[in-house]
Amino acid sequence: MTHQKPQEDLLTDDRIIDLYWDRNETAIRETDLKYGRFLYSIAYHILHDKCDCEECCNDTYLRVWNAVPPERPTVLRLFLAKIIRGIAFNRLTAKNRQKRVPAHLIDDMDDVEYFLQGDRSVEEEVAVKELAKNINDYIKTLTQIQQHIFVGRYYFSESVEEIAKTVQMTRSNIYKQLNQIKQGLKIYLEERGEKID
Amino acid sequence: MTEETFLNAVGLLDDCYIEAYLQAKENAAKRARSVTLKRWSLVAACLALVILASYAVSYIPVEYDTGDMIENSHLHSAQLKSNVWIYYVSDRGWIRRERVKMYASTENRFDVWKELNHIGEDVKLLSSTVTGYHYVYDENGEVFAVSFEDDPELTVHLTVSANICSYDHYEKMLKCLKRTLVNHSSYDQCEINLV
Repeated sequence: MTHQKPQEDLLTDDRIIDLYWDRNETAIRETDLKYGRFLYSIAYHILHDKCDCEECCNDTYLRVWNAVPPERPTVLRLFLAKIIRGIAFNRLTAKNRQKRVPAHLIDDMDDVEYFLQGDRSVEEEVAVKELAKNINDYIKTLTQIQQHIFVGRYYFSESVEEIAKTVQMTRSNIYKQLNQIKQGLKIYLEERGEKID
Repeated sequence: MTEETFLNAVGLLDDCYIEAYLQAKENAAKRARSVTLKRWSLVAACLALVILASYAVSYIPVEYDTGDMIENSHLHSAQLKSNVWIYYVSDRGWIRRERVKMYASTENRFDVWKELNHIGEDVKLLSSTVTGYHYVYDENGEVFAVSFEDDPELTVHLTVSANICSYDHYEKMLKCLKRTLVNHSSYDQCEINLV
């Protein structure tokens, strides 16, 4: 990860996307300059490991390079955040599985991730999509602050302290809100026939 | 529903919620930055105030009782007191200065300079004259008038008792006397004769 340039020297998102469309490799450098720290922090909240986070960032740039074109993200920051979150969670799952599988059976972390990506069955895919729809519907019923807390906690895996700073509330209030959200979600999902373990 | 399924499902949240959160986070960071900036500005302002205050305190003049001196110096009673820097040699031999509110005649400056330098009555100011006024001559070569218009070089000539040579650092003391008479005064130079 490179050091950040002063804000005024950074390219606009449109310009960076144009660079990707022109297949200009400086696009990756500019993305790193503008969003490197942001992406690193997302990965770090999930993985808590410096090396893994750096690899996640690099994987994200590669994924964006491959995706743009044909895609043209409307909000680059969001696009990057979604990609790195996916990569970081895959890596976390892989790490957790690696702990359960004897080390000599796994040569490389990437191998595990590769198998993991194709690991999900069609039923699971459907279940995830159904659950996602229910969660989205549930979030609509929450207040804006609660939505922020939910996203911060479950999407970005941020600590309660960080969320408290973002929404300008005390930690104890965040804990209370989180409990309410969890209880509400549990009831909401059970009403819709979702099995909660 | 496993933890993994839940996290995968959360990954499919609507973009609007994520974007709104990122925006809130950015605003919070901006807020934090401005609070930090304000806090540091306040600290800097306080520091500047302290420095300024300490500087100002060091400039508060000490008022000397120059009652006797005035009588001796034959000053005009209407003359106002002013702040005068008096240079002196400290116990460690360093040249220092002190601001004194006084009637700023040559005699008074000399007396306060003596006091600050701990010089006894054996050293006296025997005479003081000023030269360098710009003289305007008439056609016959006679002095017609004294003018200050052309910014004349004024020199104050002092005759001081030679007893001062018995004091430690007397050369520095004389240097201080010169500075005392020249700095912040209408005199440009000072010459001292020891008798």
